[in-house]
Amino acid sequence: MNWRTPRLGLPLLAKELVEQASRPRTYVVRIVYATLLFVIAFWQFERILANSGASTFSALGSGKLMFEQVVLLQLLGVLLFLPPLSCGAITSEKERDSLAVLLVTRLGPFTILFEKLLGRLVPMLSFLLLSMPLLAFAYSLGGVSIVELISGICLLAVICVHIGTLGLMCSSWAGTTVSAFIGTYTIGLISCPVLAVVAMTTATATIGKISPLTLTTDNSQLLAIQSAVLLVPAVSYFLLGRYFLVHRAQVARKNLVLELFRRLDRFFFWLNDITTGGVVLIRDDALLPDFMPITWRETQKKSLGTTRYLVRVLVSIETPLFLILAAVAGMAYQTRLGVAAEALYVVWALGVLLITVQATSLISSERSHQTLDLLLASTMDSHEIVRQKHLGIRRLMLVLTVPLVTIFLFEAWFATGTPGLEDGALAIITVPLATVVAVFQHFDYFLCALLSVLVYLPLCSWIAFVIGIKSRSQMRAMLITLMVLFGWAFLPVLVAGKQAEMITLHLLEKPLIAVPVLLCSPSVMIMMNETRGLAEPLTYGGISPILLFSIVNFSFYGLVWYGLRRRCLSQADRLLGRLSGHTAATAATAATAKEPAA
Amino acid sequence: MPVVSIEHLHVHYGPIHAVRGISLEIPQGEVYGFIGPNGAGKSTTIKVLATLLPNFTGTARINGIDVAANPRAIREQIGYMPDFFGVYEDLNVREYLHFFAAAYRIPRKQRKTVVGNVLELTDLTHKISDQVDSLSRGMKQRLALARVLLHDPQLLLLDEPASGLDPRARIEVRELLKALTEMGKTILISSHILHELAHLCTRVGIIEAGQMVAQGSLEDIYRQLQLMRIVHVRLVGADEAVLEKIRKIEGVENVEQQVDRIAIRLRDNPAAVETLHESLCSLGVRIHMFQPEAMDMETAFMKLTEGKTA
Repeated sequence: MNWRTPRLGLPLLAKELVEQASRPRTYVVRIVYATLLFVIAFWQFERILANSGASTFSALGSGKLMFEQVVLLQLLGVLLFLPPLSCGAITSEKERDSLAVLLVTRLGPFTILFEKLLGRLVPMLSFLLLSMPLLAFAYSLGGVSIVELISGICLLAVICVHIGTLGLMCSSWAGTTVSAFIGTYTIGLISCPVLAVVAMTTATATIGKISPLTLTTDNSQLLAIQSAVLLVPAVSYFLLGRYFLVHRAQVARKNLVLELFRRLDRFFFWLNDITTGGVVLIRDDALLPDFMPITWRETQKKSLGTTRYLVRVLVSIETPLFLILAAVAGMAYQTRLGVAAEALYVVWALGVLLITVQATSLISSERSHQTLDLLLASTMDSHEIVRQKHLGIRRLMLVLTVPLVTIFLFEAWFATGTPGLEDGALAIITVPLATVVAVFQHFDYFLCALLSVLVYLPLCSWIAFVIGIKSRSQMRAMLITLMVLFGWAFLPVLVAGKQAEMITLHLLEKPLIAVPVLLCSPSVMIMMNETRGLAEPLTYGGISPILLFSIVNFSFYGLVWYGLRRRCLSQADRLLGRLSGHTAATAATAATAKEPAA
Repeated sequence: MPVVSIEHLHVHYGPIHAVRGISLEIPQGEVYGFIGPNGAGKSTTIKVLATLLPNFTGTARINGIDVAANPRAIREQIGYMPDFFGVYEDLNVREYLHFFAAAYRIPRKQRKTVVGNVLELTDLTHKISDQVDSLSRGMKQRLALARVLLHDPQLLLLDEPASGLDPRARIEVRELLKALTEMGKTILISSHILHELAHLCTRVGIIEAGQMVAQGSLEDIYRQLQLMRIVHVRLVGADEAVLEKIRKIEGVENVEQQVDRIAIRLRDNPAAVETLHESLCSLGVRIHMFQPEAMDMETAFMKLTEGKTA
């Protein structure tokens, strides 16, 4: 009798893992992730130990804080890495036209989805494993119970499953990875408060008044509630993903951003028709290109480049910002400045995101539309192509400068005690005048803030642009840029977070340490300016340290920006993959020189 | 002086040796067809001439100008049409052509006339306000031809211009290329559609695995391949004695009796077929069928290539 032993096979998972293992970037990302995790964790540990007192024994019991910091760092890692990993799971198959081939095999939709999910969770869980030595160290210091240790690890794993299934569902639904990526973050952000409310309601009803919004707990019931609140939607996402996998397997690929802007366009036209009867103040030019065709297309034809859309972007950011800042003007000093600082960080993040999307798409969209070769075969010089392309985002940078300057003006005004606010209707005149006076009173702060916009925004745009040139797809360029900027610029602010005031004071007192710290990340200057720039000025030998540090920081990053731009323009031929007369002639000369010897 | 001159061209993509010592010359006004299987190195060679490949060895010259030494001057003289159609989905036909006219630095005052002329030549004037994205594939190809003609280049590098087109669109493109030839343009065209090239090209080069297998006029290639030498005949009442007489006819290499016919292989001589016919008649045999083996590009291609890639 021929007995056939049933074998458990996971071919898709095996393929995914083999593919990942054969890519050098898998190892690069892991090394970078581990380095960042360990450096930041050790930095945090060192601070905690330094604050715990002179005796080594006094550090005993301080493991809980370390433990929480590591779990928080890992959560940030999960939020940053898992959505991009999971949202390309199915869309990459759709983009390669290989999903239909998979669906006609004996692998069922559930199996495909399950193996794809595992294929994404395995590398993420391997990232989580990296923190085991750090968790063990924190545990050995004491202050962490075994239940807390398990709860932290379990909750991170459950969050991974939740986000993984969400990304997978969006990937099954969407036609492109970019759409799935946007969808994952949008649904994640919308569902976050809903899940928080559900968790709070359930926790209050079952175990009393314990906040469920924590990553570590020594209450096993709370852990069960948290896990259930995250896993139930995860199951729904998985089931929906299975439905979409079959029903949207042949979905047409749409440019989601373009579609969104078209819809917004229709909405604004409708709004204009019913409010003004169709009055148009700024009419998009129907002119043909003059002598800068690429800039013309970027600014006249692309969604995020036209005046009409830029005005809408400005109104969409500036209006709520102005209302929020005006609303908090009457509040306490710390509150209004705190809200303004938070608003600044949000606008910075939004601005960097918009610039990243726009700058990375400049060349990668030409590649994806297969038009780059047409440009390169034309008589335009490569540096001219690069220059004209980059001019396309200058207007976006100018638009983003407006809300940032609005916040700086509000902050200067807030810092001087909101003068002119009590003047009733006359406030329309007195408040702007008082703001101008306030700017001069806090000139160091305002100068530093303004320089941050003038230097960092173009720097970000050139970084994104260079990564966009080197990457094969816009999605990859966007992810790499966001990771670079997040790790380099935003992570220090996020990690410093609550201790910003203390760190700033510490740095201001030790200029020799402060200067290298300031140079390691651009956001340190922003943080320092926000926390101490408006307070009583500290002076050392008649010099304001903030002003001094501003000069050092912006000179350095200004040079980086200039160097990057110059290199990009001078190496444009090589970056774009075009034959350069100069280098080719040099190579030819070298070859000729070798000939006689041969 | 030839318009295109390539000597010992080698191109590497990492470990892959894509082009291995190709040499060719294309004189003024010639239509040179580049034939070869996928991955043979046709597009790579065209890309070298279009200044889009920085790393190659050997010499490539256009009108005597070295491609490697002076790519800027080369770009003035070529019109490059890749094997894909690059679409700017946000532009209409007018904007698309004006965009490239500006990119080629055509004086602003002349652009309208130039755009009008190329649209008329490609029969797309009625589509001037249509979105590029909404055009049919055939129209897109004609628009691409209009684009490459904007700066009136002397040499056109056309990579698979008829690929993926329906028969009508293919004929339209072919007629357009004939018109361009009559205008004195030199054309280097690659294609898989062999009989298209047979109708159009004055010379062809067959390339496989990065190497030139054969080149010359179609007649030269057929002769090289000895495709004219087999003549299939069916004779009434042909026996072994008749076959022996045929073997003795001057110019006959061998005679093979097949199931329903006789295959006569002739020695290299353009007039051998006619001589054979006369000789058979003089033998007094009654000829039921006399059919020289068809010469076509597909046979030549199949005989010359083995399906290898670089």
